[in-house]
Amino acid sequence: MKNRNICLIGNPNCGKTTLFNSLTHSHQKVGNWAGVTVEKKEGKYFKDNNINIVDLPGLYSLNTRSLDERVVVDYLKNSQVDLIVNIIDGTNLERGLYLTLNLIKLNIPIIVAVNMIDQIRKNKIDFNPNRLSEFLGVPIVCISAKNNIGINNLVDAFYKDNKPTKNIKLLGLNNNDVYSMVDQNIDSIISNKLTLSHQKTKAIDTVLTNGFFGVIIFFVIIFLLYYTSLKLGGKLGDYIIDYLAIFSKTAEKTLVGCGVNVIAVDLLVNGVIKGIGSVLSFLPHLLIMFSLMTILEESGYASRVAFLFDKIFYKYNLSGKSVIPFVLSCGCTTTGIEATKIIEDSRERENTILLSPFLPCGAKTAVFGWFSYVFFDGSALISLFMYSLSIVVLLIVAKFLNRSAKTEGAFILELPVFRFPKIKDILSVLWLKIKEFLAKSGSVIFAISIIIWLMLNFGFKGYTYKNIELSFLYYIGNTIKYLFYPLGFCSWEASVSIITGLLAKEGIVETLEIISLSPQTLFTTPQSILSFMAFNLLCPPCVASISVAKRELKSAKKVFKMLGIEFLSAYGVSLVINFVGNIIKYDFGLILSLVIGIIIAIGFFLSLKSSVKNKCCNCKGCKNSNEIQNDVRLYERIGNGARRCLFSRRVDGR
Amino acid sequence: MFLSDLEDGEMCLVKKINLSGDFIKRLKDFGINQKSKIKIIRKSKNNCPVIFLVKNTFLALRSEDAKKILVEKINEE
Repeated sequence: MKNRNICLIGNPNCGKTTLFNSLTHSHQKVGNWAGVTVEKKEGKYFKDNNINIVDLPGLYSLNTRSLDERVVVDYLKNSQVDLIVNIIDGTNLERGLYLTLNLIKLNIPIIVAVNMIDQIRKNKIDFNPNRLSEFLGVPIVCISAKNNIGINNLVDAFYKDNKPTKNIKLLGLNNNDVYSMVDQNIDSIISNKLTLSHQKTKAIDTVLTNGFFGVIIFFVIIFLLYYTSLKLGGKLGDYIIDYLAIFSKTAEKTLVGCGVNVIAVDLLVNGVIKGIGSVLSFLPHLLIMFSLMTILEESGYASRVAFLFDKIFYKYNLSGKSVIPFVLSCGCTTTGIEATKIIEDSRERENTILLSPFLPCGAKTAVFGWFSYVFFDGSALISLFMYSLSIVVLLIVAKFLNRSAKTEGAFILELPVFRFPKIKDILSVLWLKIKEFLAKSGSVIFAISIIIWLMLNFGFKGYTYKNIELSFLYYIGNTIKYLFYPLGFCSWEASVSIITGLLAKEGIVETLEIISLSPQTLFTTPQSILSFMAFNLLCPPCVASISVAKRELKSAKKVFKMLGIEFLSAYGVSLVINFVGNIIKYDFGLILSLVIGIIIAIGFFLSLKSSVKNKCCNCKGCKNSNEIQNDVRLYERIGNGARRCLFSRRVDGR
Repeated sequence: MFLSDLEDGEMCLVKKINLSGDFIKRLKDFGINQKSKIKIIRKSKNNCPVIFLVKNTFLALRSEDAKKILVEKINEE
């Protein structure tokens, strides 16, 4: 039999992924659709390699409004699709049918798989598959992907000679008729009844979405999430580092013993193995974090969190859905930025990507731990201060970020019925994510560690023979250290560690320990230590995060904007810390800090003003809106300039 | 009467949606169009989004958007 290309399509949360996993087992590969970051999953049917199965993104209709939908429509139109398998959540049949009718209009052979048939039977819902099949003019298979019911019937249907719909009437429907067509026929197909899981979900939600208890539960869950992943993951990561250290020592001895060039051995041991080690040591933490987050996401809890926080975040030009990326960013910025995909509104999504690096990731937390141990007798207050600082700065910067037109109603959130995720599904997600992380971020970190090694071991006179003062890194550090003079730390070691921190934040401590004999002498005042820590907290993230941000933002300009914002806020905040510290102590640095502070403040204010003006000129919302008379009058009375635009936006949502 | 005015547990029929075309389309995908029946689960308090049930789906909508959906209250059957 020739190769057949089968597409799985359905609403989000309809059980599509579970079906895909049970059809393909582990024969999957994941990638991105050309040019966009929408995930593309493909696999072969595990019993027959001639059947290629494509898992398309979950979507509600084919109105080509969002990126996901456009990807699906383009794919269906431009590729050879032999069969569409449309999965519908049987407990929510009506909504699924809107998409089905859209698909039927494409005139491609199609089978409809009604999922969760066990739920329908258990709840004694009247469901008439024959009537549905008659209405749609296509074959219907009742399945339960989770409990493996009816999967064989579905597979048998793959091999039949499938045809597009027999109900010609459906082909000519326009988009509006689709909805009324479903509305007219639904009563004869299925009885409208809430299932037991709906009732349970409703009960659970009264607690989880409660403004008080919901928030408390959220913080407890998040605490447990970090605690397990940082403690357990950190411990496992330490084991990996220990083993690698032993391994690299043995390798060094053996290779040198064999008479291999010393420089080459050093590159291998301190460059390559160390680089791989820094990636691997992070892996256990990521694994635990990913799996716990996947459980929260798949079970439906993530939507509740988005609901809880929308109220606060909306005021700061963010979406309730930004919480999830932010939470993930406290573990690792790369995962946080990747998770921004769930935010539909492009503006809110961009802002979330821009702000995620402010949060202290796992590596930064470790750096703060080291600092508070070395300089402040291990005071926990220091870490608390850093966490609060990052949140305050995040919200302040968010307020000033892009405030131009919000998409109307960008926040419509489905609160899916709570379901226990299948362990197999979680493992499969986990495996794909880890593979992606190792392939993409791993290669970047690997390359960077080699570059650092070269910079540290080579200078203008060639190989430095471990004489750091001849290396490029020393020159660079000495050149840029004056930039940090107003911040209170002016040593080449600190400057270099900021650069290596760009590669990976763990590198800060590592660098300070390697290149300076006694790190304690680098910083003279407590405020300079705090300002150094704050700078590293807020300054641009590690390269891995920047590369992910580049992929998600899809524009080099926006990445530079992000880096600029982060650098400026880091510089500003550190300046303030040092300034305040100096006022308390009163010394020469005060006058210098004051002057530079004023210059930066004026610059910041001017750029802000001009950006607000520009946004207003581009905003078409003011002139075109005539939807509600009241609102139009309101904005006219308000008057001119920025205020008018802001105000009318709030009124009509543009 | 708007969707935002209803109390917990009350039912209503959608009359008119004073929103842009794109958003109306999106609401339709969730089964909200004229004459669809909505049951309020949790009314919007302190600017939290409103939660309601439409066609076996729990949805949340920002209260400012809910203020633009004109509805008619009906009695529970």
